[in-house]
Amino acid sequence: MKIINVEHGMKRMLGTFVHEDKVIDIQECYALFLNDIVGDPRAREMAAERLPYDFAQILEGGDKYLRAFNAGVAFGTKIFNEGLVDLPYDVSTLVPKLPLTPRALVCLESNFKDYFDETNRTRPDQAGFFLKLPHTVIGPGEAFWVDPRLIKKLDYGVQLGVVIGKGGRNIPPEKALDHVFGYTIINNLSARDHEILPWGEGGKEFHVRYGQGRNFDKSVALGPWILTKAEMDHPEDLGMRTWVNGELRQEDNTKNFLWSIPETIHYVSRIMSLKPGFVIAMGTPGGCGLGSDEALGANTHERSGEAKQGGYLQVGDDIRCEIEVIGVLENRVRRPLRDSPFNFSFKAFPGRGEAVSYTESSPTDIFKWGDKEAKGWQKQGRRK
Amino acid sequence: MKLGTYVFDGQTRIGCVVGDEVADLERLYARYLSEVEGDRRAEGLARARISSSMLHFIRGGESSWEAAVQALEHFETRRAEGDLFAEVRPLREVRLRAPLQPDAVVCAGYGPAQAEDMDLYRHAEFFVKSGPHVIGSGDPISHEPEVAKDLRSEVELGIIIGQGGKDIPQNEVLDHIFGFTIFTDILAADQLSMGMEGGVFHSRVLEGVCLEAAGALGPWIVTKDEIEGGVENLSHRLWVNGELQEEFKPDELPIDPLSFVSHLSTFFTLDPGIVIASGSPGGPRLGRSDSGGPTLAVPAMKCGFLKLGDKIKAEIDSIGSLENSVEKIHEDS
Repeated sequence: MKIINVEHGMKRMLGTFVHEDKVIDIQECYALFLNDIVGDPRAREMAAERLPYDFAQILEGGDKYLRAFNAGVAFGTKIFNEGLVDLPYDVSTLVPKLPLTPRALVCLESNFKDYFDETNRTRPDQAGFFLKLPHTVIGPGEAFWVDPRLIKKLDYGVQLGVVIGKGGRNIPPEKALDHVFGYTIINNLSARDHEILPWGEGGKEFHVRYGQGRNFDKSVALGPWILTKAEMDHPEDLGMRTWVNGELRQEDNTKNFLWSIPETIHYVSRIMSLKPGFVIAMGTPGGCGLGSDEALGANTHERSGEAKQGGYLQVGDDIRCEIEVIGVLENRVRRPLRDSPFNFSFKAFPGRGEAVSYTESSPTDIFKWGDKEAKGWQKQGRRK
Repeated sequence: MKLGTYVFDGQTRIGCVVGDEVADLERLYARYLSEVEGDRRAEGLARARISSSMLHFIRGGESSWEAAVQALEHFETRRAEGDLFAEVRPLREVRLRAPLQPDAVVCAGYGPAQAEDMDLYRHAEFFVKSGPHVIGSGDPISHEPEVAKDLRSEVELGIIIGQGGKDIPQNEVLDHIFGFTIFTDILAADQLSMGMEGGVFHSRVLEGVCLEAAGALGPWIVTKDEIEGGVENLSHRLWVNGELQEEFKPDELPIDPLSFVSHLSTFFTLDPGIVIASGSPGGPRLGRSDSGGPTLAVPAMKCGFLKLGDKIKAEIDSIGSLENSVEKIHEDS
């Protein structure tokens, strides 16, 4: 089953496909089920309570919520098959949204030999893990808003997203897949100029900072839907590809994972318990922009296979990430609607006294705009 | 105002700490609405304005804040006249939890080992910690030596965002802050200093800083109007088993808390769900090796590293103190 989150007119809903271009609203179907079959006088309220549109809330709710979810899907499919014509929505009338806001997004930097070869690193004994801020995740079709003055080396990376359905701690590898709810596609962006800093003699050593490098507004896309585990019998044999403006940049297969999904779940759950609604991003293959950046230690070489080596992302680029069986996730890079009032000559880190700035200009010269314009911009701040 | 989240009679509520009592804000506001304004939808309105979730309350902005002020004024005047209030309980009868369960905590990470090495400032970092793993006052800090051997704790100022925003200038940061609390940071020193691998210096940010107890938040939020003389001058102290481990004021740190908030806002939109912890002087320190490459030192505390049974007390002037103990938690899938 593909779980999608869509907007139809004024309505936001959690849906699933009952036909290749027909979608049902699961909450509505559950309300019909309660009303018609159970005879519940509070059917609509119960359905709204049990099946909110953020799927992570349903996962957090546990069995009762998932039972309601399954009942809604089963009833919806049944009445669709019986020909209740006005029930499904045509997919062309729907605007796709983020299917689930992760409660925590745990990322592997990379999980492919190709990536480590290309970036000229020996394979670390353990995968590099980090967390991303959940509120920086965007959905399918949404734009990455990136200010090219702040981020000069914007990189992409297709990753398999593993959605955790059942929480646990110290999960043994052989039971790990029991905790998985489904799979999705993640395009995990990074700001390589903030992430990787050359060090030492001739800049041959590198300091990798996952904080600034990975956490900025709209820095991850997730979608287009969650494919439930039941429809995925071989998560570790899926081709994955990225195209930038139609040019193939990344091509690999999840069978080349250095750390398998069960190993990863086991490893992470030893450090911190996994909870329902957590998502693990399984790392990106070679072919990122970083792979052709010699200044950041890349070992540039002709790539085998079809994928071309390319540079970093630019404003206006279209990115298309595909993972077999799951689907395709498309996003575009755009400038923010309004420019930031900062001129980005700000200090590298807010230290005391004199500190080095990224540019030549004075670190005290922080604002290009007046206070009034700056205030107007902040009011645009995202409110949930 | 001191605002906390607590459990009473099996229910999670948010309340204002008044002396040694805690007042249930949602129920007090409902009572105010019904007694003073004769509102027949008092409970529904109180749920919309205040609710039992601190995040909901903070996101409610000024109108929610005014509702809380009205509720408390009503309580104080009516109680002075002898009315009884079941909405107000002694603190010892309730169990305090983290004042809010954040989506994530952003911590000031590595600072430079020597303040005069300006180039090192470029390498300073921030960490993201998992919000669902933040614990509250009195909750156990798990210690599993097979996962992380050398734990250290730090007292840090926890900054709670009010009105969210992006690109906030340094001189306006305070307008966007709702209040302050204490964040007891937990780090695994042995994991963090394993970072140098194959010419690349990774911060092992999952193994090193995102343990089962990512950190403790509490005991309550003190709203910014109650902090006099600026947060830079509040003394921070950390005790382990009654022995003082560190004492400092943010003024002595290489990182200024309010500038740090402004800095973060250039990268991502701030929101009350993102709690910011501004670092402590004993945290991980970047230095240089003889070849000029990076080194990372994570010093032990005065008492060494944490052991099972240790009692940790973090204290910040004008806010209060937050106590937790180190325990082994057995809970397998």
